Amino acid sequence: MSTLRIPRPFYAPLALLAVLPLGACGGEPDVVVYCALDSVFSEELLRDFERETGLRVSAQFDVEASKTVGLVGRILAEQRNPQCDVFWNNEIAHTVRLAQAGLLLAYDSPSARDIPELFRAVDRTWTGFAARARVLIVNTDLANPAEITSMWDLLDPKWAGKVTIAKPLTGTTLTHLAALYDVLGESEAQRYVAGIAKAGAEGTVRLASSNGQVMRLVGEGKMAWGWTDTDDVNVAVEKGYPVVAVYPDQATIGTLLIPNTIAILKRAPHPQNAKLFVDWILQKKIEERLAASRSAQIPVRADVPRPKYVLGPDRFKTMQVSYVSLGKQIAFRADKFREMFLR
Amino acid sequence: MSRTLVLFALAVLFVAGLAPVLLMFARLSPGDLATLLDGRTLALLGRTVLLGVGVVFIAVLVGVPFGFLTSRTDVPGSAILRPLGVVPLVLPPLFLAMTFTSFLDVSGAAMTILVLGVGTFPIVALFAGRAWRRIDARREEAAYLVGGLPAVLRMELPLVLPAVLCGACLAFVFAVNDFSVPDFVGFVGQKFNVYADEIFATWQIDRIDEREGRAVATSLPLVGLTLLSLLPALALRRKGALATVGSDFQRPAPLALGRWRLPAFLFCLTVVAATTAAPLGRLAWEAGGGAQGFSLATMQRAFATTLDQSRDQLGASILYAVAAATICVPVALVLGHAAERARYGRFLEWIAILPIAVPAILFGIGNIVLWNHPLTSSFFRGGGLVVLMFVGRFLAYPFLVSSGAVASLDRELEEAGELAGAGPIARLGRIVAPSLWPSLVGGWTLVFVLAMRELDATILVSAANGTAMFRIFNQVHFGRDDFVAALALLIVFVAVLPGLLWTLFGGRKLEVLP
Amino acid sequence: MNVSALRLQGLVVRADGRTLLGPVSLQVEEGEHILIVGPSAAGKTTLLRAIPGLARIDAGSVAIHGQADSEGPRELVPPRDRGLGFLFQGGALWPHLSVRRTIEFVLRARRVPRGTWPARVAELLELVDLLGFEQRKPGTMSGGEKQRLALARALSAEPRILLLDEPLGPLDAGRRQSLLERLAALQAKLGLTILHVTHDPGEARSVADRVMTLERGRIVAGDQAQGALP
Repeated sequence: MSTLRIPRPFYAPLALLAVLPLGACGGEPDVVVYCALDSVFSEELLRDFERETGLRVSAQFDVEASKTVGLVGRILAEQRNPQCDVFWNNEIAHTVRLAQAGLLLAYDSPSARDIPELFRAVDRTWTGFAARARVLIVNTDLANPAEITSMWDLLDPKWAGKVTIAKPLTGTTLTHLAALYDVLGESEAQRYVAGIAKAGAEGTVRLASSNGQVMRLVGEGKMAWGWTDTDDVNVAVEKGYPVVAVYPDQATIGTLLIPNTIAILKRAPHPQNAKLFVDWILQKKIEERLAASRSAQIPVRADVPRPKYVLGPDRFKTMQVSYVSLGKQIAFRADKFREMFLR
Repeated sequence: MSRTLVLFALAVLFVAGLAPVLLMFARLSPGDLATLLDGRTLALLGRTVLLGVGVVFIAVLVGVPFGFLTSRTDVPGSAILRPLGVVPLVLPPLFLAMTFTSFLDVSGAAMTILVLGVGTFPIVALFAGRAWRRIDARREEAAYLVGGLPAVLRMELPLVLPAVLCGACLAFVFAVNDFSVPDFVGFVGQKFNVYADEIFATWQIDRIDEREGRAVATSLPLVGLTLLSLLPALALRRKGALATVGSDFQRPAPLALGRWRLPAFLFCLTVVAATTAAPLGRLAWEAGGGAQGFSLATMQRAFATTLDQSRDQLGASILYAVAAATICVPVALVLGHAAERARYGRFLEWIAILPIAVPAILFGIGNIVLWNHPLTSSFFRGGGLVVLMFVGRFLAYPFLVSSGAVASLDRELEEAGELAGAGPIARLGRIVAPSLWPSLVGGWTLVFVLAMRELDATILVSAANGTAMFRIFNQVHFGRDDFVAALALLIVFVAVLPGLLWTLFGGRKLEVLP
Repeated sequence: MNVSALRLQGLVVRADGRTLLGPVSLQVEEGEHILIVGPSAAGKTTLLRAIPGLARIDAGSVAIHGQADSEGPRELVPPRDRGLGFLFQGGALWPHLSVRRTIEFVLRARRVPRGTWPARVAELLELVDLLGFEQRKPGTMSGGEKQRLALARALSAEPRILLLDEPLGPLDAGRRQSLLERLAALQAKLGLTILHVTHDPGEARSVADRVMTLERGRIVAGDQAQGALP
């Protein structure tokens, strides 16, 4: 019978296989944050939290929406053994959805007491802060911003082939178009969305893969204007692109504000540290920092100091939408949009 | 063959590659299949197949002559052109898409096909080149005496056709499973949706709504299409159509092109310029400031910043890739050897390639389901899981390379060892492995390259946040073009380094094909 | 009781629906040199490969020195333990191993004490006249040298029976005679039993004790005195 004498070429691989199970890097963190706000903006804040509190943060980020099922998907997949303490989402609909699924812990943070009720869950399972607005990014070399005042301009034949919007299958574009059903009513909203789908198929409206791509297309002059978020507009301006933001439909439905949301998972591994983190992130000074950062996030508190180019709800009409209702319908809308846009 | 070793290798394959997939398939219920193939999804699938066919056309159109010219003729600079022609395989397809869309005013389906065709032509070129190199000199001389170069080509084309078909199948598989390129380029002109979009979108929705079975079911048509596409490649390999070397093989001399030498050189140069120099050049240009104004000082700063800020991520990526490749190769050798020598070999082939047929998302979520338990929490959070996922996802490639190499190995070499008294493990380690060394290093290099550029499946686990590719895709959204470009160039350099070192110092040709 | 060195009883080998060999019955006594001749595809190599179990036996039995080694498809004794040396057609040398390392490979597999290796290597190389070739690899050797190395490798395991598959094939006339003489000398010195297959009827008759003819998988002629069994 041959004995199991291992030839030398197999030593290294066997050794590697043996140490694989030990592969947790660097020990247990004190708090795990799943952060959908891009790391470019959020990482520095997380490091500051670490410095101020002495707690070690393990941060998990997302990449551009086209690449992943997202942090929400991970939270759902990990339900049986949650890894995440705090979910810092850069939008609201999916956070509401998680709350409705019973996955979030109710926590009334003392730091959130001055945040308007519109941005707080009734049951305190989530809190909104530092928002972005859905705006039109306009290349001033190619279009006169004063001529673009309404969301319906996107479907105006005069702009055929020169306008763009991200596919409404993920992210804030999904949230935005889903919100229209609440605000405009089923048939009007459907007319708009179906119009975009048709125009996208015909090529008169260019369907981008993300808001970031919209920003690049308009900034580089390949498109005249398109839908994106205020943080993308700010990045474009910093890059030196000849662009401005237009807040459309000020006389009618207004501009959708999409806040960041912070929530603690119900079965978070480190609930006390999670609360400390939430308290820290909801401070007024953090909103101020986010407003001053490249992401130019709009403070939900009216009295937070901000740069001149960060317009608050006092400077534009905001869309009156129920975030809770938005959360309820987001999955249904996403399914419908998939059928409309993936043909 | 050592049953113990084969069982151990199967265990690795099962745990790393099959268990996550089977766990997800176990969530299927009959109801999930009901709306699977309605008119809309069939149209998407049909479009995907057409995309694949278009890509194969480009890949063959460019790959066959490029492979022939750089492997078998006296075209100038072939020693440099040939390895440069492989670089598109190392680049993530998205980088190719970014380059081509900035240079060419072509859009939608045409651009998608062009980019993916360019990205996969090296596969066809490698297969064709190897098949041409394995044609016995005497056969070629016989044809040459009869009718010169045209007669040679007429005689040889049927001989290399099986290898070209094999490469075409693999190019097709890569094309129909790619999501990022159609998504990136498809925004201009008529939107060109593919089936991979459907899978992604369904996972987005059904994860939220916990209709996971439907999301899994959505993957099935593409899994089936991929496995069907691999069927001809496996059959050709099994029939020995790819191995034309006899025991008294005489290597053919380079074919003289005569007055066609210059046009051939220009063709090869154009291919390399368009597929390698252009994307790398664009990355270098972006690293130096790009549209904001190129300067070497900016490039220097970009690289310095990148190394400073991404040193850890780059190190982690290299470590994971090296570990995965080092584990994959002996496991692949054991399984590849068993696939060729054991009666159940064909069955082994199919289960070994299954992980590459499933969408990355399904594979990633399957790993979460498998490993996210209190007992395995530490492992779940750590880099070990990333390595295991790389092993599971890419083991099929060195497996195919190894089994192809074993197929062309004289069985009597092993029998002589058996009669001499060496046990199966000793025979594998001391007779088979040394004889296949270029193929084993080739398999290692393949896994290393794929692991360096992988993100789609591993993004769902914690440690992937610490990789260089994650950093790139995280930053690319925010106009950090110089940083992203510099990091991308570093990744490309690291990915090609093993192959380059082997070519320079290895002494023997690297084998990366099954 | 006089136990035969090798006894094949009703041996049958089939593949792809064809009978390649058999039924063949054969008895070889200790120290004999048996020559088996036959045209291409007669089954000579199949017969030789069936003895150590390298070819799968469909029916019949193989017994070596009285011990049953195979009964039909059942392998009762593994190939390595049957006391056989095999010289493959074409040599089947390991291209990456030098002459010395080739012999040492066998010694290591046989768990021969490492301290005795140098002497054993020298002894074997002297037997086949390859002293001085220790560092050479097969790729740098002539046909005759390679055959001698293959022979040395076959002898390294101290077999009692040597199986030779077309050993003279790659050699010119002069070297054939030289190798035949060497084989005869080895047989005498080491007391080997040799089973030697060839397609050349003239080859080796001078040194063989008995000659048998194999055609279409059956023994059709030969010295019947002790050879073919009913």
